[in-house]
Amino acid sequence: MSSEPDTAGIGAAVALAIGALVAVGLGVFGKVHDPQFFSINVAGFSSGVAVKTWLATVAIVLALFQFGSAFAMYGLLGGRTPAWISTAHVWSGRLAVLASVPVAVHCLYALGFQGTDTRVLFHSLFGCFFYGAFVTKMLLLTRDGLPAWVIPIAGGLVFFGLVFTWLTSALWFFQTSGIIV
Amino acid sequence: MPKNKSGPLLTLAAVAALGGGIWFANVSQETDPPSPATPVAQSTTTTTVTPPAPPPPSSPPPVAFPAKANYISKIPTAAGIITLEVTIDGQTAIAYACDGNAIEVWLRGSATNGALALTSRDQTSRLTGRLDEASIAGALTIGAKSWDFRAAPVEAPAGLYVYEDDGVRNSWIVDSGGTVTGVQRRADGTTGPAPTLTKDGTAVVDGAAVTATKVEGETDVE
Repeated sequence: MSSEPDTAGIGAAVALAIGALVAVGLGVFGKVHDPQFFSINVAGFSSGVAVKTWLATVAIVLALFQFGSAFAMYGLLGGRTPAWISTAHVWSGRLAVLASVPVAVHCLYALGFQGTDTRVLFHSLFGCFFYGAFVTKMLLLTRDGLPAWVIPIAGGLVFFGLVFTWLTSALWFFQTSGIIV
Repeated sequence: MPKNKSGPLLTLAAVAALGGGIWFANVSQETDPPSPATPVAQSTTTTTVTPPAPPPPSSPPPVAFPAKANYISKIPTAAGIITLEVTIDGQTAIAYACDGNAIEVWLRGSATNGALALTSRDQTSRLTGRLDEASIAGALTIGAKSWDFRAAPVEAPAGLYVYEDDGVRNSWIVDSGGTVTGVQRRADGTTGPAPTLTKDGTAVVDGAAVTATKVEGETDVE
């Protein structure tokens, strides 16, 4: 071990701590903030919930591409990895997280952190976790000298957070209301 | 892997800016709750029902509610219309407000000397009002939000209808034009638009045809 991994370790710990603060901060804020029931929405859908569902689904589809493109970037899919893959990975990730932001703001502003039943509680937890993990991963990307496994683990946790946030909300909506626009 | 260090930070900044921007747009649309002493402003309320002819100006305003009466108001809010129904039965008042989609609240309380004071079961929502000529002028508070309203009297079949079974509650408001607004709350507490209520008061709930009950003073809504 040279001294470089040590400073990288400190940097990674700071990134992790900031991400954890974001996750807990969102949860606490969502709990303390008075639900406003209403939030600005996108026109053209049957309801605000439908808008959220479809935006979240866009984010999930992009995240699935993230998952596949990450495997390709690490050479796990075999063959030659095209040069454009990493650029596509970066931009699909940006679009995915940006698509999720209006949904998250609606959740936090109109509803807040809630635990009225198991689905709602886990959705609240996963939603906060997702943004914390996202912040951590973005900060880790700016560090040099990290062990090779750090970024894949962080990316995997971001993916995990988004998938479970989606499963506990959008999938539930499609199952109870049908596939409606 | 990209070694452009500013990229991830730009992504973070974009997310923060978008989230903050939407949040700010939301906050800037908030309406201040009226102070309780402020008289209800006519201009802030709308009703789609036709009010009956007002009493002759010489007669004093009534200080007591009719023994049985129904009132409806459509309250415009920043993000949609909340329909409010108030049912008076003797000294008891029941009110129901919903947006026909996901938001609903049941309130219960007293109607004495022409004044209303109702709260929801969990005390997070309340309604206050008073008889003003033939209508009710008041304020409805749901959570932290509050709106002034003016509710005009309506005649049956306009009113408030409910059907409860197996933990699923369907609530409907029928206005004087026959338009129905309703919300269904399922056993797990989730809400959605209520199934269609027909003119003969029936609806199809989970595949079964049911008949809705018109809400009266002794109606016990869970």
